[in-house]
Order: sequence, then C-alpha cells, then structure tokens
Amino acid sequence: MTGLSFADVTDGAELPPFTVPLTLQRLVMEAAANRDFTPIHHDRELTRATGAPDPYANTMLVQAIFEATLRQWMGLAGRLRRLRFNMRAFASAGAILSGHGRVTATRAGDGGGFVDLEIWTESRGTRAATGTATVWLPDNGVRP
Amino acid sequence: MSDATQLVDLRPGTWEEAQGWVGRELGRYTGADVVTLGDIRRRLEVLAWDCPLHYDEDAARRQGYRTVVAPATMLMTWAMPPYWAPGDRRPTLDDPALVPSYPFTRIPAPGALIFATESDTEYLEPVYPGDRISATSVLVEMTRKRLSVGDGAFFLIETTYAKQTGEVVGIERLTVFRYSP
Repeated sequence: MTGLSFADVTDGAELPPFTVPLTLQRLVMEAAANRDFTPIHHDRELTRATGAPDPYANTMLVQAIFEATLRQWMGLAGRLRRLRFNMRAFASAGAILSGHGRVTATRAGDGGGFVDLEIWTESRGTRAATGTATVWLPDNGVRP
Repeated sequence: MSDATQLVDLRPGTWEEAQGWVGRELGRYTGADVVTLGDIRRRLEVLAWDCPLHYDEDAARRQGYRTVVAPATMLMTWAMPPYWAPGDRRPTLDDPALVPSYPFTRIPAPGALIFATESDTEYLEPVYPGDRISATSVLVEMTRKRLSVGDGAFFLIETTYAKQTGEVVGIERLTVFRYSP
C-alpha cells in the first residue's frame, strides 16, 4: 500500500481523525522533541500565573498533528504543500487533541493533482485551531 | 483566547519605531544542531505517529526521497537556536525562564504581551538527516488594532528556511499580536 490516488479523492470526503491524549507528560515529551521550552507549554504553575488554566499545545505541535492527520489519510505517496491555520482556543493538558479534515476542492496538475482541505483540531468539544491545507497526490497512488 | 507569552523578553519601543522596521530583516539564525534520525524519531514518539517515510529508508526511497525524510512540519525545530552555547555565562537559580529567541521579540514596540494568531507555511523541498537549517525573518506588515484583550498591533513575519547549500525548503508567514492589556 503506497497511498491514495488523486482519482480516488472526492469533494466533501472527510478524513479519519488523528488523536493524541494530551497529558502534561506528553507536553513535556513534546517540548523535548520540538525544543520550544516556553513554560506555558509544560509548566503548570507558570502557565496559571499568565491566566491560562493549564499548559497548552504550541504551534509546532498543532502543525505536526495536522501533518499526521493528512498523512494517515493520504498514505506515503502524497506531499504536503501548504498548511495554514488560526489559533482559536487553548488545547490544554488533560484532554484528547484530535486532527480533522475535509476535502474542499481538487485540481489536476504535476502528474497527479492538488487537493485543498478544510482542517481543524478539536479539544474538549471545541475547535481549537482551524484552517486550510493543500496536498499533492499522484495519479495512480505511486510516485511517477 | 490568548497564547500570551508574557514571559518573553520583548524589546520596548513605540509604534512609530515598530513601523520603521516594516520591510527590514529581523534576524537570521541557524539551528543549534544538524537534522538527525534521533530528532525525527522523537517527533514520531510524542504523537505515536507511525509513518515509514520517517524511519524506513527503503519505504522513503520508493516514494522518490533520497533516504529517510523528516516530517515537513519540523522547520521551526530545525532552525531553533541553542539556549546556551560555549562562551555564554553560566545559568543561576534567579534567571528568568528560558524561552526561544524568536526574531519577532526584537521588534521595538509597546506592549508586554504577545501571542501567535496565524501560521501559514509552504513546504518546498524535503529535509534529510545531515541537513543544517537556517531561517531568515523579515517584518512584512504591521496593522494597529484594538482587540478585546487590549490595544496593540498585528505583525506579519515572513521566515525563509534554507539548507546549508542555500536551497530554500519552506516559507512561513506567522502572524503575532503584541499588545498591552
């Protein structure tokens, strides 16, 4: 299995979500992996002093969740071309953070086609980040 | 909602001074380390993210990559400067918390608080173990605005990520809001 073909993609198709249990421990692992040690992303005491309820996901974690969501759906042959999103709410420690997507447009090109998607994350029933993504997919699921 | 990083050491100034920085380079910085398989593995580990492109050389080659490829969204990590380097003074218990020295903190402006509102990145070329990534940031636009959290301004910062060879791998447009509550 190498991945989705451009021809397989239909407008409106919804992606399976990619979920991560966002425990405080996992935020600490995340800081070690992405090297952003800003305290609001792992230190409960300092975060509360800024008025936020708990440490929360940073930009790099949100970007990675979106890439993982898109990759899980499109398989190995697709390429991520663009990712744009707005931060709308905290994705705080102690909840499941999930990545979601829905196909909004397709156009042929480059030996395959480009797919535009609406993307969002959910945390505690709220859309924490919302935006758009563009990926490229080959015609037959295999890179030419 | 606020991603308020009031722990960040922001350069003080006036809105006029900030406006004078529009179109100017805020800084160029090089990642503390070269890209390694270990960095990529730790990114997968946090998310329990199973994607063979990022750990299986044969699987990556079958998709046209030179070898195991990094997740596209690791650019900010690759360009992160060190928190300490040889020659820097030793840390003490009284030091403020460490924060990354992002270039947007160097814009002279009023307002002690800042948060990121939008991230927009184009991914142009694959990044491989052994690459060393540099980032160059330019202040593209400043828009004064009063929001419910306070009076301030949106700054649009465009950062170009490139390999040691000069090959551009990605372009990021980050919007931050700096304000006084």
